[in-house]
Amino acid sequence: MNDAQSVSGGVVPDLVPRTIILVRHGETQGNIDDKAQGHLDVPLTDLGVRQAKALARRLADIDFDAVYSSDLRRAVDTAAALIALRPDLEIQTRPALREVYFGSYEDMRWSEIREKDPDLHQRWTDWNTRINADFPHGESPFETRRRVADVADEIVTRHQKDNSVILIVAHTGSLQPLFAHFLGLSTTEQWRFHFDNTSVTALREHPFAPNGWRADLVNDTHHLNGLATNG
Amino acid sequence: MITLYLVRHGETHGNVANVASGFTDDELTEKGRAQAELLGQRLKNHHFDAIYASDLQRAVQTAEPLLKLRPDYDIETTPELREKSFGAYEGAPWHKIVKDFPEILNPDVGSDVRMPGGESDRDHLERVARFTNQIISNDGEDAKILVFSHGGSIGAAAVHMCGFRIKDQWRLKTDNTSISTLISEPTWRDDKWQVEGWNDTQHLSIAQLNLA
Repeated sequence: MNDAQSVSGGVVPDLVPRTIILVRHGETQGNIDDKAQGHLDVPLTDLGVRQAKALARRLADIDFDAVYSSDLRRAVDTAAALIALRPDLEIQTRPALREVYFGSYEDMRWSEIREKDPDLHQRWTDWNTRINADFPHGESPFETRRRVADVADEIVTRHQKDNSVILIVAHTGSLQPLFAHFLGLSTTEQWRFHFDNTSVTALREHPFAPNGWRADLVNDTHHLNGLATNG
Repeated sequence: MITLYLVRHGETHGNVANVASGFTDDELTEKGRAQAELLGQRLKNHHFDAIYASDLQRAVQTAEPLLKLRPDYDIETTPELREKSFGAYEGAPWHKIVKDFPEILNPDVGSDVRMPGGESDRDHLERVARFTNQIISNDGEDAKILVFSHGGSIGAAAVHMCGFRIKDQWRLKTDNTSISTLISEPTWRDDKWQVEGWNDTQHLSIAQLNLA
């Protein structure tokens, strides 16, 4: 449907929509090496820093009401670049926005995990079973979704003001369930969405559907045009 | 890798009037034509192995600037990619449709609601899915396929390829001349289609910046 505000025609009360901008952190060495980083606290690469700066230029005109980030360094450093020229804003960190906790397999390449634990790797690779792939001494994506859903609800409850714009910086493993939670997508649907480094995804409240969020933009990286990438 | 680039048509008179256009053969507005020009400029240096379009004028007119810039490209038009038919409610304002068929807002039954003489979301999905399966098998394992169609048809293609629940279709917004991209890696299982990007209108924001 088109412009939902006029769609409703008074049938349901028109809302003034809020916006949530989801951003994935910039590149890390673990991304290049295809490693399970999880809660490992690694820095951005030089390219990752440049990606974050490019995104900062792109978002410079957006008047954010609040900025949330995973407390891991790769997310916080990305968020810090985004608000470097905005002394009025501070980053509110939430450990619940962290990546999936891969437990004993943190810092291993995915190819090594496949060799060491083919059964778990198979459950992880199959999108129908991934949600219950429980990493030894870590967690399953089911547990990740639960903690992410809680923090998502906390954040939207705190920002009720019409037209609020909320920035959230996190990781693939937390952005997928975050996105799915806002949109009411199932745990198997959530794997279908791709989040590149410093990609922008925009969710807006549908004025037609109270508490209904809709994706206006998914995984947009046009600020990276012209920046070198690896592979 | 197979990549499906799904493009929504430019602005139409029906979009401006905020009425339901399904099979109605509406044309682009001046603004819609300008959007299509910007899209053509954006896509002209890209390689596509095949290009398809809904046979409705608004989809074909959206493809025209690209085809002018790239006379080497052919396009196949088909009624299979048309927007959902609203039957007797073609041209009706959205608020009238919601008033007369409030059940379309109910996620449990909305996908099966038909206006008299029209299609349900599910009918439409089946039609678009049939054609999408066909182009995927025609154009092989490693193809870049460009498709000009409609908001509802793009949502239906995503629902079909990615296995989304039909009631979730409205969760993904498509603006005029937006590009939404679905990909499938050959190493993935057959059902592993992913949304690589959605509702990209970068070509329009560049124009806005230039005007400012």
